Amino acid sequence: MSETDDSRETDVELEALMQEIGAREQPDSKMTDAVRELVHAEWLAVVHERRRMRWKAATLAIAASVVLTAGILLFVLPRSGVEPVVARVDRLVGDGAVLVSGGDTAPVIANTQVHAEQTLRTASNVRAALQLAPHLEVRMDQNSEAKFVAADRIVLYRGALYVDASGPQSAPLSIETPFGNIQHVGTQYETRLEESALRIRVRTGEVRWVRDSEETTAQAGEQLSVSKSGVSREPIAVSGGDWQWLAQVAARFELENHSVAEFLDWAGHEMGCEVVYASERAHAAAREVILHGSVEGLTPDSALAAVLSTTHFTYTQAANRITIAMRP
Amino acid sequence: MNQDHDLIRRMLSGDERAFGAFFEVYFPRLYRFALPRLGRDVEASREVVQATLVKVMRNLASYRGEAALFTWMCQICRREIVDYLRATRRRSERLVLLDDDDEIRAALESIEAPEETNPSVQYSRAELRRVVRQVLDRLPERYGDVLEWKYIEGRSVEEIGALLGIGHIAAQSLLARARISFRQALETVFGTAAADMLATLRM
Repeated sequence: MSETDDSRETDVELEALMQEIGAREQPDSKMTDAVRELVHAEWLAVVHERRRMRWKAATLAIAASVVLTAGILLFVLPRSGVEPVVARVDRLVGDGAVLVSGGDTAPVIANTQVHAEQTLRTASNVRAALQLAPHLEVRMDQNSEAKFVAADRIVLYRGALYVDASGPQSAPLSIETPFGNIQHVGTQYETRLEESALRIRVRTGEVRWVRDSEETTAQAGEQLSVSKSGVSREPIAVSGGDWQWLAQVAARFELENHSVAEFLDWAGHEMGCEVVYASERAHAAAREVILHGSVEGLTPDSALAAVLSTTHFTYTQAANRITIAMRP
Repeated sequence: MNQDHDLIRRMLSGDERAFGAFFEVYFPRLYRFALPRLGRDVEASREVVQATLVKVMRNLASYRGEAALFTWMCQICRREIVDYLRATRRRSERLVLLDDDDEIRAALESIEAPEETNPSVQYSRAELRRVVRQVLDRLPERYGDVLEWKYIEGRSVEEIGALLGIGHIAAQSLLARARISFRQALETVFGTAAADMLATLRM
């Protein structure tokens, strides 16, 4: 069959199909005109407002330069009116995170300070880890958006946050979502906001979820799924699979002059695994052997494999447990 | 998606023609999206789509192009529908449509970037017709309109060109791209069973 015949047959098939499904419904012209008029007015208002803001920004820029020329050293004046710093971007993977403040956006790099009321937004393939307090870290997954209202209060608009508050004296933190608020009780957990539900997955410790008069807690190894219709609970794994994204923004570990035991504590914490020793001899040796070098740029599981391969230790990983033994 | 971005950029700069093109393309599509979800209540659909478009205007600058423009607007429209039903206490009347099924929705939303999917759903003929119409609404550019003009209204290539303000060759090329895009989109939504399912429609 020639190409022309093929094309003619496709045309005939398509025509038959289109005839069968019929024309798509159209809104009537009166309704179309009415909606168009209203939406057009709204569009014009948005365009005018943007122009006004640009004009204002340009005017302010000119005013600022005049003030500087006059020799007023603004930078030495107290920064009254500036919101307090509530977090610092400690680690960042990928390019495309912005801080939104009022109508302005600014790119984010490592060590960027986040002020109260600022919103952090990550694009795809961008992940960030933020330090809120000495024992309180929040990691943000790609395609996420959250407002840092205060050092102890975050509003999650979309995407996922992972809270690591497992230190001995972790500060309080409340995460607010349309499906209720979440508070930790010394824990590591992830909260992920989806279109029609909130998912809270607890790795260690305990998490409290509150919505109006409803309240419940979730323990390590549990997932709460919250939707408008209710709350359901199911068991989950606390390592591997769904937790994998955290490895990209794992906490740094300075290997140099630290013991194998300290390194294993870090790796286990980051991987969501308990570290156990096959013998007391292995445990004692891990405390005594001092490491040198660096694991910079390695994910915790890669670092574990790389570091232990240079020592007298072996390890096996099963479920949520890393077992350390001495080489025979 | 770049075309979507370009359209939004032009709208934000105050280009009246861009607004006109936007409204002409997306208002009927959103209306068709809302109508079956609101029990075919025309007045409710008008109200919801109007509220959706107002919200879209207010948030134009925040459109980041992570999803196709129409997909993004559908997300806003879904929320408006829920709010409308809640406000009018008609939750029980809300219809759960086939394309609200996660798999179907994912397939429809992936039309701009086809990937392997094969929803294992049994369709009635009426549902099938409606999903195919939804596919036409999700096609990029004005492919859906071009296919309707050609195969339902029986317009010539010259007439289609005149409607869109383009020449004969450009219209012919557009029609060819629309045919290919439609076929690929049907395969994306219905998977390997596309040919069989569509054959049942014509039986």
